[in-house]
Amino acid sequence: MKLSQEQINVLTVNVQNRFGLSDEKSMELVYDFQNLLENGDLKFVYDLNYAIFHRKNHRFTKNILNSIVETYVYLYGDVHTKDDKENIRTNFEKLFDMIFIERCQYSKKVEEKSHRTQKILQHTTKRLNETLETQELMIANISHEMRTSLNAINGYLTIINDRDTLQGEDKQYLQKASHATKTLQALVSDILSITKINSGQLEIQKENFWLDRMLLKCIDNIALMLKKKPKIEFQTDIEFVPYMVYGDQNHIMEILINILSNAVKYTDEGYIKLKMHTNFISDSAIMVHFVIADSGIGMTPQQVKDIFSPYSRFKTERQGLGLGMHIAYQLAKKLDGTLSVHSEINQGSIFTFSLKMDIHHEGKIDISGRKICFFCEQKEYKIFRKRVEFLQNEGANVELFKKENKFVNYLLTLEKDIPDFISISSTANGYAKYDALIYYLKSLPMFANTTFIAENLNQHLSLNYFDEVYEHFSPITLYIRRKNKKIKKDHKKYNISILAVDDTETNLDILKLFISKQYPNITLDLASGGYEAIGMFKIKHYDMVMIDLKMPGLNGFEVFEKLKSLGELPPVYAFSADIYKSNIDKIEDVGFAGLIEKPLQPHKLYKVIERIVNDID
Amino acid sequence: MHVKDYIDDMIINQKGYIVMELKILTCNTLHTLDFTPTIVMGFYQDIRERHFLQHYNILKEKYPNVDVIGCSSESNIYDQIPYIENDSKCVFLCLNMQRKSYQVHILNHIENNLSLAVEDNYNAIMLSSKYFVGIEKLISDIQHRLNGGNVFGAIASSLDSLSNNATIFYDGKFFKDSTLLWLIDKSYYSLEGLSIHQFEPVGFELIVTKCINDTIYELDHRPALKVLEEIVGHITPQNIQSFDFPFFLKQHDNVSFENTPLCSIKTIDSVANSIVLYRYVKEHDKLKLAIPVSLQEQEERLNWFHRFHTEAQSVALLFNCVGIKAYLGMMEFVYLMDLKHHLKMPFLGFHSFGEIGPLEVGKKSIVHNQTISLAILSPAKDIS
Repeated sequence: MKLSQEQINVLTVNVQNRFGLSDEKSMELVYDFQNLLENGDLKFVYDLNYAIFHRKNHRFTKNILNSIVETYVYLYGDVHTKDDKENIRTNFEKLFDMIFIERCQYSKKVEEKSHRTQKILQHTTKRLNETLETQELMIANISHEMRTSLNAINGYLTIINDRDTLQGEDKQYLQKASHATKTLQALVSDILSITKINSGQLEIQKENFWLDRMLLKCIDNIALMLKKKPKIEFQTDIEFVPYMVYGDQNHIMEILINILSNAVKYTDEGYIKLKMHTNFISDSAIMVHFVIADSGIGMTPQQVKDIFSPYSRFKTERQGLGLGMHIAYQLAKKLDGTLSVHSEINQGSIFTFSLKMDIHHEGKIDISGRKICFFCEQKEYKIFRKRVEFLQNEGANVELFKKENKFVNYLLTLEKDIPDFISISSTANGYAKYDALIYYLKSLPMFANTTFIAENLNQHLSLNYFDEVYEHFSPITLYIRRKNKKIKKDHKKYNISILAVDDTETNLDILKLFISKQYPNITLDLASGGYEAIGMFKIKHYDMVMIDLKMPGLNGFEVFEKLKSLGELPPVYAFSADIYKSNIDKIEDVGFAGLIEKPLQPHKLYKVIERIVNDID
Repeated sequence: MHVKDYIDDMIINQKGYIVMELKILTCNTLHTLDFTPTIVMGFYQDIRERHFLQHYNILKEKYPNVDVIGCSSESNIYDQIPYIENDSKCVFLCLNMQRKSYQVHILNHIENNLSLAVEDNYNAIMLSSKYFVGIEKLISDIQHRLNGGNVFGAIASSLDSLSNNATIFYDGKFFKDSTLLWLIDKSYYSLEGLSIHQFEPVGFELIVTKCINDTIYELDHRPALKVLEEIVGHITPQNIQSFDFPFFLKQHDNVSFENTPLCSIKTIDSVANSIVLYRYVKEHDKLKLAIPVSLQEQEERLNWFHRFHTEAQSVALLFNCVGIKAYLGMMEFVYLMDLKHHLKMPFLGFHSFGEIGPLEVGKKSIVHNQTISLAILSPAKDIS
């Protein structure tokens, strides 16, 4: 079938208008189309297909489809013979099939292939997860065993150190061994944390706490690291939050300590700034934003991208495996918080950790009527001023001194309205001078109930007579409590009997050394297995029992069940390195009084003992 | 041989290249050949051997000194519409090359006369009638003897993948158990190219624990087909026809799966629970399933060929796996048009049962499936 000149003209104009082609190009296309109609030459079809591929534009494809339909509709209406109409119809079907139907078939194939690929990927993911779980379990078991061994090593090292019998090089070797053990303990602890997070074993333990106290604990934690880098200025800008909040303090601390430690690690000079501010999101909840900025080495965009991935440590000469930020990020997610970072190479980094926390209204600060006296001769006077205003708004009676002579004069001439708190922020020499003055003041009976506070020390000074010393800031909650004279506990009076059972001799050794050091009058009987313990329990009264859970023969749970069958029990504590949720749940379910974790942390053990002694009293 | 020794009898074009006359023709247009070829390479479907032989006789009658080499194919590729030949036409690459610049050898697989004295100044086109034990070693040996020269080629194919009808052709004869080696002197002509595929390895290694030749009975000490179906689901005959589940095959531990050859499944036996591949395997070989890369990545990979554009009068030889044809369908000719658009040179080739070429330029050639293998034959630049 041959197109008439008029038809060619109409089609050329249509192509020109629709695709904005030149006369020549439009004409060329129409002639190719005519060749298709007349001779079955497929050049037109192939060129269209290539143009669609090349453009990759849905609108262009749709335009082509519309143009083809219009062209054939026009021609169909313009021809008169039956043969021509049939020719146009057949031709259209062929063109449509080659351009669109085949493309759809290809898309269908791609889709089918994609489904098959999905299936393969699903299977692979499932197997990968199974393998990871097995590996994690293996790592957890190894870590668990390592903790037990580290418990022993650390315990012995502590005892040797406490005896202070080593000298010269030997003392250094001991310090190096202690340092290496701590690094290893931190690593094992990191691995266990990751395993716990990944296996869903992480427990969120919420409690009411004061934000500023928590931040002080975080700062304490990095204080030693900071001491080794004297060119870093540690700055704080902590908003006063006059009520307790409800949240998982320990895990929030873990996140912040991780970020702070990293800041110290990657900053050699300049500053590290810890900032906290809040905003209300409802009557009962606030959004807390912790910002940690440093002037350290910073990160490249790729490093920023990878920072929260496991093993992301990029400077090999720095310590650690790079698990810390991964743990922090995972913990932040578990707490429904967000952790983000902005960093530029050689410019430092800014980490922002934000999370919602409930307010504990009953834990609102109550300092009305407190008399507080501040002396500040430092440049941070403005910050102090803000604090004074806050305390005054909360009902405290506050005096603020900037001049030394006025302040000293005030102290020496005081006869009544003695302050509950005297807070001093001074220079290095000033603190030493005031330490001596406080020695004198404390000898006066009227200052018996006054708490002397050294604030914003920013340096490590040995002060003997201040009651509280804060290197960066004192917590606002400090002003709630009144000073009570400390009653020094006489541990020698503690004369209870404890039975401890563990199949590992070193664990028992360490336990004995820690207890005898603190409580020389406590009787500690040791059993190396379940049956031996049961025998001892039958013939002697004990005030406390500690049972290792993982023992050959009778395990800890079985020993406990047998002891229960013997009658009334004293508090029985599980002694274990397995601190997984499932294990802790089981310990509670069967009726243990609690868990004493391995590696043994003496202060926790002492707390348990004191609680028991108090209960007996 | 140095260029200066033969420069006198050659024509050099304005750009400094040795002139190589070439034309790609089909059996319908072969009569239009307007120069005297020294070598003709043709591809024919296995059922058209007689037809191909007739054309050989016509060529020989007209050009008695011409060398004619050929290879059977499932279907042919050439650079005219419809690009993929579906009408059983034979296609021919007619070349007027310097006669002393090439050699043709036939190596018989059965007689095992694979020892070959080769000079070290050649690249090679290798066409094999079928996959055979030792083909990898032969490729490696040849490349070694050619002092790192490039080797490209393919394994002949047939309409029925399970039949044994594929052949190669040389000097008026069809060969069933042989390999044809066309050695081309680097001083006269260059041969460069690349094999690309559209897959990436996924999942766990599957270790071949029981096999005979091309048939795997056990993977990881379990029935091979069962292991595979656990991963991909039930395998249908359509899956086999579409070459749906290729593997990466690792035979040496010192290579990563990304650099190992892909091999397709030829058939499965649900009674014996076995898988038959297009190549031989041995116990302790490792497999990984291959999944297609994204469409965007596929196009990016195809663009790797664009680097071979040259100003010289060149021809592109294309050895595409039959699996590529099954998968791409009509998109194959679109890709071919795109290739033509960028390379700006004629091309021909065929759909093969195995392709020979390197996965990276300058690396060792391997035999694999599911690839598009491109080899550009160009005259060398006159350096005199």
